[in-house]
Amino acid sequence: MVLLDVHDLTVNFGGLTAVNRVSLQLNESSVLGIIGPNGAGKTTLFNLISGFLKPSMGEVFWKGKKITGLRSYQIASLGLVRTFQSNVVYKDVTASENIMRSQYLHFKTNLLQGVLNTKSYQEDEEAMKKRAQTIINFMELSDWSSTLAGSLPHGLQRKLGIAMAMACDPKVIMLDEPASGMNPGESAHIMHKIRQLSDRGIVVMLVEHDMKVVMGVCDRIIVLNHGQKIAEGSPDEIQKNQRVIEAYLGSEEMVL
Amino acid sequence: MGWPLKWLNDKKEIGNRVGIIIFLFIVCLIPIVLREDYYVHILIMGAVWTILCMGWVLLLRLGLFSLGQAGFLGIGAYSSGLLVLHLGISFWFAILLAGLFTALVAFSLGIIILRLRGLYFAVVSFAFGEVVRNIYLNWISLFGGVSGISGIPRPDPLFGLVFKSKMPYYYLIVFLTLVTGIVLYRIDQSRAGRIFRAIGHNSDLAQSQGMNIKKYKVMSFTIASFFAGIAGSFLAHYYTTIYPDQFGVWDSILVQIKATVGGVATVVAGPLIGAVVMTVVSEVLRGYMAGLEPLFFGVFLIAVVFFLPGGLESLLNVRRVEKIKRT
Amino acid sequence: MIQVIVNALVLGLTYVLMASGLSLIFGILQIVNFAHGQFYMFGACFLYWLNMKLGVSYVLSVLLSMFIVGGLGIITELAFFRKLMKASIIAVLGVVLGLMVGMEGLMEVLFGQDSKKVTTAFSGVLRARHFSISYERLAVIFASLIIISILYYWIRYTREGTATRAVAQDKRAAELVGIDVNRIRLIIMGIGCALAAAAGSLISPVFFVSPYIGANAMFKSLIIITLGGMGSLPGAALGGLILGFIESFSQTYIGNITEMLGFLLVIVILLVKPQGIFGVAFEMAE
Repeated sequence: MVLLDVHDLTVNFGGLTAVNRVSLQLNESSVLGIIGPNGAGKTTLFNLISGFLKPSMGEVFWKGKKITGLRSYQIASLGLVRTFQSNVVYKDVTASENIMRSQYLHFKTNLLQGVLNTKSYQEDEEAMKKRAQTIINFMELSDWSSTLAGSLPHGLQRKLGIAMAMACDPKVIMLDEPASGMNPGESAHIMHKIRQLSDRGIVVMLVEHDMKVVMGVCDRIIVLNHGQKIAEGSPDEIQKNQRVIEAYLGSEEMVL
Repeated sequence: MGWPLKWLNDKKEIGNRVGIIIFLFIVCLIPIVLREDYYVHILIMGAVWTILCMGWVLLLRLGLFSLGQAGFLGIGAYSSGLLVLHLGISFWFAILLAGLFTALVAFSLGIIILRLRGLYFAVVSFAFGEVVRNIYLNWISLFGGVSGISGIPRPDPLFGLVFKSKMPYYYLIVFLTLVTGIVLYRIDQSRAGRIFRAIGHNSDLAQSQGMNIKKYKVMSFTIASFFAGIAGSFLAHYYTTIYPDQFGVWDSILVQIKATVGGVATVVAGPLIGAVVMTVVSEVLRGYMAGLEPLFFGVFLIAVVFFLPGGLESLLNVRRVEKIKRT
Repeated sequence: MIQVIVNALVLGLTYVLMASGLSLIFGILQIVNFAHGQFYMFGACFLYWLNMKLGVSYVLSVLLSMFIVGGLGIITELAFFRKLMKASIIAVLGVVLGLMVGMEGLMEVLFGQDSKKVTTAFSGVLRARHFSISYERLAVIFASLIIISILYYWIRYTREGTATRAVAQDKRAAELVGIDVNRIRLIIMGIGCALAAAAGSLISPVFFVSPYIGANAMFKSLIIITLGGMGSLPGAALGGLILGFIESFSQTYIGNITEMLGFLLVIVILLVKPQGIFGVAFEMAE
């Protein structure tokens, strides 16, 4: 079944067309990779799909219903959750509090119940703590649950970012450069985690520069250049694609 | 109804909670000990400012820096005074109606202006306070212009309390402050408070996690203004004369000063300390010489920003600073 | 009619001086200096002391007052604003409001609470067939125009002025080109506060001097730069003149309505077009 259907998505800034008639489809149980040289429009595409940017043209459909133009929090509540490239975590609180905040979509928040501190409210709070612990354990961050997120090293912050996205109860997670700045050991670990997410039924769409991660984890890959889609296919097909190789010639991001 | 006892028996918190009981006990005894009306008046004003400051800090959680709280104080005061004067309603209904009316104004205003962030919101809240004050000044037939409204009736006797002296007023405002404090404290500690803080720390991230920023901003704005309106209603029937200059820029800025000096890490403790201490200080200074009060306030505020960002409250409890980091 | 226009120019041009200072400070330091009105007030008070108490000539008093208050601006930058470059909005607004309040208090103590009169150095009235204009008002208009011209010349043609424009446009790029941003900040605080002082000194013989005139001046400056665009000099000029003309022409109505309308305008503009007429869109870091 097609979960996400992006159709001719376009956005113009002044004279620049950052994303030009990009279409893609996301099916259940798949991992989709989006690659391309710097400035190709990958993060902009994410912003368009997740409601952080309004498209000039084109449509986005979620489970058959049109979601183009919806606000970012509305799209998140549908189950389409994204992470950020920079600005990954809430820096001023601990890792576990970061996860607690991220559980907003999974638990009801009733102001009156909160003020009165009713029994069901307290039970929910306990359940939240347990769930947060489970998620932290999954991403193997339990050693750092009481550490301030802002003081975590870069790689751990990104892992926390993924954990936070998981806490949002997603059907689809859009990861923006999850392996950025990681050494080979860390990126292998991330690959493992992404595969585990996929096994749990969460669809993953990722933007990434690290080709080892992309080729190792994705079922299908889309290549963007200058805002346009220039290729689409399996990892094998993409690696042999002439246009893709040309697009990357001269840029240093291809880490095969 | 075993919860008061259960509340006291919570082993972890028992130190704090016994402390609170003792504090409340002292608060209730103070006016009996201090015979002077003047001192009781200062404490009454301290309590009013506490209500305003607590609401201000709640707004700060979401990154909303309001310079218009005095405007809502005024709306509460004028609406309550007018309701009782012209419609003969009992104060005890009017105070509630005034609070609700103020909340309604805040809600309507909030829907329009709360998409502004940071500095722009501060400026607009400031402008709002001034627009409202100008309305009082210019719509003379309803609001009495520069001289305002006088002859506002005192509250009707309740439970045997007759509002002729300062004492009943004192206990009333203590009660109101207590209620406000409990409600705002609970909100701050609850999941709503967590949402507020997420929005204040990183609103993009909060949005990407499904939080409707505007909804929560409007919610907190309405709540804070409701209590400001209640405080305003109290003032109207305490002073019995109200005029526009009581609710101007200076007063909105004072809320910010007192709260910041007290400490904004907590919703009750910091504002309480700041409001009471600064109100006492201002009375002392005003007695000496005009100009000393704003001068010292300015100096205090800047000193706190640079040297004691946690405010006076942080001096009391190093342990609490660590606990706050976790929230 | 001529009288009304003259009044409009007197008000408008001094507003332009003041608002230009505020706009410059905002454009370079990214701080809305709520204490700006107090620098205006300081300018007026220093003028009173120099001119009325010490007997210094009027023109020299104005210049000295500008110089002293400009110096105070530089001290403010060094002591306070410089440390706020990466601070949160609470800290910045806290300091700026603390300054606003503290400066008024300081002047209340030093100057006293009463309004004092500055006798004009340009007494006399220019009489023509249909109207008469006081020399004092003409002097204000003349002096304001001179200062504004010097300011515009400075910003367009001098090295520092050009550097300032570069910093206002893109601070990081300016740094990369070797511009000493810290020095520009100092210069602009000096100039911005001096402009406020100029407005205060020039207008003081027309009205009066007291420690309380700062708040009102601040309101007006805020309205003007919101209207014209925060950080825009042409915006400050246009806004200042517009406000001056509106105030002068509506003297027949109750003065307070102008202020209320001004604030309503602020709210509407910030909601609809926060850049103002000319201005720079600005996202405040939180």
